[in-house]
Order: sequence, then structure tokens, then C-alpha cells
Amino acid sequence: MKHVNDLLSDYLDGGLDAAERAAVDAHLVDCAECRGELEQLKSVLAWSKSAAKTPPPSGLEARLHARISRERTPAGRGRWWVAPGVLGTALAGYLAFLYVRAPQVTEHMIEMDRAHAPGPERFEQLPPPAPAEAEARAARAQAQAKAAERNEENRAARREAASLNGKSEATRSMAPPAPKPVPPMDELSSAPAVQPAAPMADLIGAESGASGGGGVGASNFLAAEPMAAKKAARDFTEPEPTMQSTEWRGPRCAIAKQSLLVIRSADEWRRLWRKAGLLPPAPPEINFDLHLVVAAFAGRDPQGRTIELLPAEPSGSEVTVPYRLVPGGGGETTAYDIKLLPTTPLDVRFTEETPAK
Amino acid sequence: MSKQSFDDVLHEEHAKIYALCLHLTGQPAEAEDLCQEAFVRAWRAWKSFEGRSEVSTWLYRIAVNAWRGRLRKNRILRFVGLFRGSSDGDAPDPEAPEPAAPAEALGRAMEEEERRRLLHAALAAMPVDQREVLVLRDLEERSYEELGAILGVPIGTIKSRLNRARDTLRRRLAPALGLSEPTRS
Repeated sequence: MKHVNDLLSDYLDGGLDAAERAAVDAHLVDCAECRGELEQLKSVLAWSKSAAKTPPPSGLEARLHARISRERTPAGRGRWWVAPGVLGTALAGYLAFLYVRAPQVTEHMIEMDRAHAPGPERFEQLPPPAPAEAEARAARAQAQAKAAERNEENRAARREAASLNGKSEATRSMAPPAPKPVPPMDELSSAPAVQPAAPMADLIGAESGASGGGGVGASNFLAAEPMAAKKAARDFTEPEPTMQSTEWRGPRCAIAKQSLLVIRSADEWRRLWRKAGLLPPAPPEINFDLHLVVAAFAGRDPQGRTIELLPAEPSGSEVTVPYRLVPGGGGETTAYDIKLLPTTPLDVRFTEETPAK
Repeated sequence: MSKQSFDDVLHEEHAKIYALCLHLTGQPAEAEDLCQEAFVRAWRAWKSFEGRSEVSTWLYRIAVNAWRGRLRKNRILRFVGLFRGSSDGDAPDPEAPEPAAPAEALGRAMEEEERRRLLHAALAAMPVDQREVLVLRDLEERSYEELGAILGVPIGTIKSRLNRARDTLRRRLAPALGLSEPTRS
């Protein structure tokens, strides 16, 4: 009998009829290869089942309920009745435009507009004005929704930019246009003023094929979504200091190589924190849906200088993160400055600020 | 029998739908996004759901369709953006990370996250149609009939896809798990 590889899956599921099953049983007695495959298959499936057990993230149910609640409100679900109003307004605007340009046709079209504009009954359906407290609550909810929407747009723009460039998001964020050797500390001051982030793989090892050059230039993203890039630049603001730390800075860490990095995932963040040997051993929690991390490591410096990241600024198609070396004098340093920024689809570039002569 | 409230359905099913989304996408953030999209779509269609299939089957179908919609969108964008490579979404993802090397996998106890990463890397390397059946059948433990209803294909097709999917998974994971090669006869 020929091998039974094609039947093993059905055999495992008990999907064979009695005759087929007996034939497979008989074959397995004699064929070590098929027996081996069956054993492998059983082990791999059992392993996969146990590896797949994943509890949902905490708070997921509440977030889903909140999202559905938005759908339940008239504003969320009422596209069917909002639509005529929106269309009417748009039509009115268009008619006004035509009125200026071609007064001879407006009379007829204004009649049409009256037919489409929202009637008084629409306004009667609106709820009475909310009391002050409810208004404040609504404003807060609106602000939160807006922030979530902006974040969603950012994520979508990043996903789309990554897709457009055929790269995974992790690859896109980590890989500069062309990996180059990290200059030694002595050369840092004479290095080009604008520097892309170093490849993550160089420093903490790539786990998912993020190494290699050919990163995404901002120009590709801009070519595809110029408006989105402009909006992203407009929306970019550094976070206000809160109870939670947004910056970690010190004169010594375990990274002795000069590096400038952008971190966009919890996995990379964990590895970087471990590699830098910072305390506490567990890295601070960061929501990478909302933030990214920029990190500057000055490398080993006998002159004892430290490094400081200055406020980031959007500039055209990218976000510029200036940094400077601060003179010290307390012996050799391996200084670092790590900072949270709001997530952005724009490329992040580092620029060195040299002290005024 | 009276229809459940949507809130009860969400409470009972959200963990399963999230797990499905996670195994399909391989990324927690994307999985939550997809899960949200699925529940929003389900809510919008809730009034027309007549209970002719199990509510979980119905939700699975919505989630799989939402995922396919995203794949289509990404595929078009990739095609338009690059004019390179295959536009066939059934092809394995060339960016999929390789599973860990055998020695590495053998040499240490795998943490849960590491195991999931390995599993998702193997799933990501699989053609989409195979990934769907394997996730639904072997990870979510749905019956063939449910798979037929969720994916809208005959059971014969499901069985042959599943056979290929399991073989792909076995070939990809067995070395990483340190399982010995079957003896060639």
C-alpha cells in the first residue's frame, strides 16, 4: 500500500470510514515513516493547542462595551438620519458657490435645496440642552473619543504606510535607509547633524527579521498620503509630564556603544531595558498604541559627558529629536536618555545640537 | 426561545473572538482592533440575526470576514504601492519570521509568550485559507459543520485544506520543537 500521509489528518479526526481506517491501521504497523509523521502531527497539534491558550487583555470587555455604546447613541448609529442633514448642508454650500458664479441657475436649484434641507421636525428631535455637569462630561468624552480617533488614524496611517512599502511595521520603524557603522564617541561631534535612528538589530538583536537596510523613507509615505503626513505632523505634540515617568536619564548604563533608537513595540522595549541593565529589572509599562520611545546612548566616554534629549518637533515629513552632549567630569560615563513621545506615522530623526561657540 | 441580549453575547463570546483574531493576525494590538470591528459589525447586524446558526458561529463568520476585508485592503495597497511580488493573498507571508532554531528551542524552557510567537510565526507563514481552517479547527476546536458555515465552503474542501495546513504546521514546527524526523522507508 502507498503511504497514507493524505489520510492522517482525517484519521486523527476520526473522519474515515471503517474500511479506510482499517487500511491506515494496517499500513501504520509496517510503515515507520507514516507512523513517525502521525506521532509528529499529534505532538505538534497538542503543543499548538496549549501555546494558543490566550486570555484576552485586561479591560477588553469594557472597551468593547464602550465602543458598542457609542454605536448605540444617536450620534454613533444615526448615519441614516444624519445623512440628509449633511447632504443638505453640503448641497447648500455648493449652491451658494454656484450662486456667486452663475446667478441665472440658482433659483431652480435653491428650490431643490429646500426640498433636501432638514425640516424643523429634525430639530425637534434633538434632546434639550444638557445641564452644565452633563456638558462637561460630554466634552470630556468627546475629547477622549477625539484622542482615540487620532490615535487610530495614526495607527492606520502607519499600517498603510507599512503595507505600501511591503514591510512589517516593526521593520519600518527600526530600519534606517542604510545601516551605517556607529561612529565612536570621538567622532560623535563631527558626525552629520541629522542622523536616522540606528538599526535595532545592531544593538539588541532582531528577533523578527527586522535587520537589514532599505527602510522606509518618509518620502514614500508622503507620496502615498501627503495629507495624512501633514495631519500627523500637526497632531504631534510631546506629552505633558504626568504622575507616570515619561523620561529616564542617567550617567551610566550597560550599553557602551553610541546609539540612537526608536522603539515602537513592547517586545523591543523589554529587550532594550534589559540590555541597558536599568532598574527596576521589569521595564515600566508603556502603551505602544499611544506612545513610542526614543533612546539616546552616548556610548563609553572617558570625558564623562552625559546625553540629553531635547523637545521633539515635527518638521515636514518627519519628527526631529534634538540631542546634546552635556560636559561632565565625574569619570567615565555610558550615559543615556530615554523618552516617551506620542506615537506617529512620521519618521523620527535625531539631530545633534552643538554648543554655541 | 427568546433572543439573548447583545451585552450577554459580548460577555460570553468576546474571549473566543479575541483569541480567533489573535491567531489570525498574530499581533495583540491588531487582534483587539479586529475584535472591535467584528463586534461593531455584529451589533449593526444584530437585529437581523435570526438565530438560525449558533451565535458563536455567526460571530466567527463576521470576524473572519472582517479579517479577509483587511487582507484585501492591504493586498491592494501593497500591489499599488510596489508593483512587485505576487498579489495572491493565499501565498505565505514572505516577511514571516522564522521559527527559533532547534538547538535554541531545545536549550531552554519556552515561556508562554515565546511559544505563542513561535506558533504565530508558523501560522503567518501559511497560506491564508490553510491558516483559517487550522485556527478554527485545531485551536478554536470548531466542528467541520461550523467551519463550513463560517467559511462558506464545502466540508470536502475544508478537509483537504486542513490536511495541507496540518502538514505545513508539522513541517515548520517539528524541528523547532526538537521532534525527530520520521524515518524514511
